[in-house]
Amino acid sequence: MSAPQPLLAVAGLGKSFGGLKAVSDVSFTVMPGEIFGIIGPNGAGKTTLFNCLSGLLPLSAGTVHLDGRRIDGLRPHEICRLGLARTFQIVRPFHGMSVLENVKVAAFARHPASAAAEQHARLALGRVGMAHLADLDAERLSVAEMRRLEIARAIATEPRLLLLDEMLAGLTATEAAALCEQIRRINAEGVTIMMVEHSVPIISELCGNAIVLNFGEMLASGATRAVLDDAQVQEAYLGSAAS
Amino acid sequence: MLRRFLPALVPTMLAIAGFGVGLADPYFMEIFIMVGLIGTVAVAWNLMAGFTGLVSLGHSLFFGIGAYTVAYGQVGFGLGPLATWPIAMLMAAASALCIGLLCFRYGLRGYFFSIATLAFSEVAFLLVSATLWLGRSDGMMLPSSPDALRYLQFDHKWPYGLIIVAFLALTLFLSQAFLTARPGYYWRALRDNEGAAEALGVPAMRYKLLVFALSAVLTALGGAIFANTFAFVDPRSTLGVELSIQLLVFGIIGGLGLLWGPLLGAALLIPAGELLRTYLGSGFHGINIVAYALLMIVLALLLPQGLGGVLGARLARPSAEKRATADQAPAVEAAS
Amino acid sequence: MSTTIFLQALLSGLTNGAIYALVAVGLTLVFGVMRIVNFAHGEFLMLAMYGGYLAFTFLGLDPILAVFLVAPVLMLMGYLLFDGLIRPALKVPEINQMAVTLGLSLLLQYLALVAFKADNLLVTQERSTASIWLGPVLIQMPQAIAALASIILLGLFYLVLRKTDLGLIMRVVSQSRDGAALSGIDISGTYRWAMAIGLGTLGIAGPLMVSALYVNPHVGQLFTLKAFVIVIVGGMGSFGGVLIGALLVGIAESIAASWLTASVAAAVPFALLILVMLLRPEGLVPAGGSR
Repeated sequence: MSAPQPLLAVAGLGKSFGGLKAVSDVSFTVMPGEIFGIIGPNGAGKTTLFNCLSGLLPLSAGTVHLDGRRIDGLRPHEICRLGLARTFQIVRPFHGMSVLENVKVAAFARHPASAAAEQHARLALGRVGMAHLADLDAERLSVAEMRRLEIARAIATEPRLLLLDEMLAGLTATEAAALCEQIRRINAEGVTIMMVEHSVPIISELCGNAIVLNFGEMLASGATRAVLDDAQVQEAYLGSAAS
Repeated sequence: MLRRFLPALVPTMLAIAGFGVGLADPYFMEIFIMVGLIGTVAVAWNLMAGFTGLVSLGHSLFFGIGAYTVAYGQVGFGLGPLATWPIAMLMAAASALCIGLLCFRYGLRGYFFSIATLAFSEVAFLLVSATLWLGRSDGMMLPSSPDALRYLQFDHKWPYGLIIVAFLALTLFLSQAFLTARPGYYWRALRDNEGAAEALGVPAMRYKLLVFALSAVLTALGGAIFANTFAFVDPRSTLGVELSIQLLVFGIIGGLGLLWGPLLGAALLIPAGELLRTYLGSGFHGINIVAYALLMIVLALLLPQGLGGVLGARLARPSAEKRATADQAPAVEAAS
Repeated sequence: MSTTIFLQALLSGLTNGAIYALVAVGLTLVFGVMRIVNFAHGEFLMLAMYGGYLAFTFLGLDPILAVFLVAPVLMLMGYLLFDGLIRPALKVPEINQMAVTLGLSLLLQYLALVAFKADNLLVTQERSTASIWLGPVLIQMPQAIAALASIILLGLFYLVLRKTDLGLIMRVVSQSRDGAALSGIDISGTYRWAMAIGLGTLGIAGPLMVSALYVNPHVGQLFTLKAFVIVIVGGMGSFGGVLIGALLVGIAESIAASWLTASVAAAVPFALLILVMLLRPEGLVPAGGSR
């Protein structure tokens, strides 16, 4: 057998709005089983990158392959069904639905029958430690709980690759630590994870590999430690943050 | 199973009771027929408006397709309901799919979807009003035939009442079956946040077209029943914007979040309109609509969930308490 | 179709288009600034037309002078309408907002029916039957006056939007309500002004139109629908788009009227809308317009 195939391969990805380049020439690969980090200051194009990968925005340039299959140009729901799920930075549960019903919407992607979808939705809630909140109106959750609901919805689609968009922002240290633990557990259960995060300590603790974006361009990529030591990165991002 | 279909079963029982009252008096039967027919069409309309967030102001188009298919089918080809009803439903499904594809591909949502659907029904209204073989704005009479049963022609109103009870039950049970299965969940997700829903594997286009077609088919069936019941169709009463607005009003007043909400709205407003007309007399032409419009404005502002929403919240009070205890559970967990 | 008939249709299409633009521009302003569609827009035009008719019949005011009476009244109505109905409507879901303005539309129509009966009324004066020859084609005097006034007003409107502080504030609010609130703009005040100006334009259009077009209680409904079509055809919210949309609708309608029956011609603006939707599925809708 040859070298293992990457789960996600992004080559020369670019996205511009009008004349403005939000992301340009981004290339990287994510191997099965890893936790992959994306670092960068605000406005670096991280969320735009996620929107391109999940099909919410069409690419202006480049290709995206998921497990060897080209996925750029597909609709978001097709990409989801191929095994790429994502969370949103601004968490907004479906209005007028209970926590369980919110997750059930996602579980229907794999289980068309209502009873099976409900059963798998409960499992997904259990995996993020929210089983006891199933019947609550989703809009009554706390911020930390909504983040976990967002993750539960994403994993209920039974993805192979999970994209997490700034899941830890605005949480207390305890809440963040608990969520990190959950992310690690989901990864251990076999889901490859790609996460956007501000906090350098969390990225360096969780992610084996990472890329750094700045003004839509890729500054560095590789092993997280090496990436963070990169002189350009120090200057562009960490240096300015430290000063 | 019973629990799942309770929201369909209870209104059906009430409708049967209403039909029973109608048997006693032809005037009551006439009111029952209007409430049952338009109320049921409003339920079908609400699958789109209330559950998917697609507020159609052009549903009279589908009602008119139903009514005119029956009328022209009989006048032009001598066809009875056995043939015309299925044809009407097929035609409505086809037009809904075409209109839906156009609107959704164009990215119309919110107000603009409503206005576009209104435009489509206005085109139909104006064209039918100008078409000689469809009777122009004078409309068409369905001629009485010696073969009465084949053309559903009865001397009394009650057989039509019975047909309408069946139509109501069909619509409620079918809708509830959809709403409690995958389509219902997908529709509500699309109503709230299309982007997030798509990212969770919801094929937005397919499910918006599904609800549009289902709603149109049921509405066309309503129009077909209308034509057979009254043996007369004309553009104003079957294709006019007034009918579409009426559906919206029944939905708003009864409650958009509930399967039976629009039916409640129809059951309250149609008899109220009759009373107003009886007491104010025809001398004050228009004053009943003024009252109607005022009621609509006030209720839309003060009771966003509709009367049914208020009623539903009353009925659901016990489960609300259950939620409150579930709310405390994590706190207990954290303390232990 | 002969060239003369075509040119005649083109000219009356352009004059109608100019008037439509004035009606649609108020609707766009209100929608652009507060994201609410006023289904009763046409009914206020209907009221303004009655205003012009009454001023002429009882005060003997020339419709051109009646504008100075009716327009302020309509502005005041817009001002009061905002506080009475629109401000509370902004707090309820979109579908309820629709019910509120649709209800208002019905209310005004049937109040007018009770007050004025269903008769068609028209201001007729000496110049009503006069007309101007422009080369081979002719234009009726009342239409010419209304179209000319529309063009002047649209120009003024554009200047207000582009050159004044109020215009700037309205543009800011229409782009980002939250951003405007953060920079200390009085949102309610802006809304109130948008409503007042949006209806005020009708106060000018109404009296001028009533000498060219019959008024009855249901005349507004048709104009609301046409204004909607114009706004969608023109790209939902842009000033230039409204102008183009209005002229397109006006011309299409009058050319169709010259060789089709009136009822079919009335369907032409809607058919135009459908055509635009078919041919330009990618465009005309602002990309970020959803939320």
